[in-house]
Amino acid sequence: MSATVIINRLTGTGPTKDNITDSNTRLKADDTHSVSDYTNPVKVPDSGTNYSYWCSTRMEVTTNTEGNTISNMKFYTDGSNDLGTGLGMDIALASAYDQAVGVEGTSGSAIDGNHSNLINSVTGAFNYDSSSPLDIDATVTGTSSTGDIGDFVITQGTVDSTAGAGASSQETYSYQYDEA
Amino acid sequence: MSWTAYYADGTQLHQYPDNGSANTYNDIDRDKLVKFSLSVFDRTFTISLEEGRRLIYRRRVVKTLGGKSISIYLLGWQKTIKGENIQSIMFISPNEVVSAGRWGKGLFAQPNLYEFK
Repeated sequence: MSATVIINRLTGTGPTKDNITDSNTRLKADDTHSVSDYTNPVKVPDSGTNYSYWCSTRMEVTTNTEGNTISNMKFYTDGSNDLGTGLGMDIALASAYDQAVGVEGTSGSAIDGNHSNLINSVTGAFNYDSSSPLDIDATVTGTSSTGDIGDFVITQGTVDSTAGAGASSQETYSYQYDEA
Repeated sequence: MSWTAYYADGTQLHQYPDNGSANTYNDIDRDKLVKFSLSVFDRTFTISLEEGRRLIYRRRVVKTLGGKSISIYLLGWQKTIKGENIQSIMFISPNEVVSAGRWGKGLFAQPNLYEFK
């Protein structure tokens, strides 16, 4: 029997885990998970760049009755920024959780310089597609039981002064792993 | 889906023995392994592991937020020849079986993954 692997978004001080595998999550100017809430959008700046609060996600094996080995975890996008004018997506990996911070309703603090547990440099998320995925197995290489696995994938929406008002188009995150 | 490992001494290790238990991938004795069979999609695929060939077996899974889950089985071998890692892998899905080299390399760099239970 195959193991069950889910994707969680982590928020708050706990942190709180929300299973987002079968749904979506919004990047806003607050540290909450929501599939449809429009409160606290990121403010379009007059100049420079504003950010969403960073979004921490991580894979978790929730059932593994036969002790299958889960390994070789990777992350990728479709490789194309279709969010809209003036919008982007940054990504970095972390070895431990660090709660997102910022000014609610205006802008999150940038990952770079504010997240305490990064294990690589912040880059553009759309640099990673299925042909060149991002390895996310430095922190926990895998498991033959249950529990959280891999690195924390930290993403953050970027908004510059050319962005329009309203919700952006949706982008997809893909998480790959091997099971044997 | 199930697999059977065949050993040089003539014995076998079944993933699901008759006693109702289940063996795991980590239970396979690689030092004795000479053949490996994977039964999936109502067919059985067998590879011979001649001297120096090391087993490659896994199910590669991609989960995309929104609920899409696709996967493919990889079955083959790898061998170090003159310091180079040589791989031969079957990419097994419900629709086709393709024999190719290393994942992500060559003309068959990105096999299609499929939704199946």
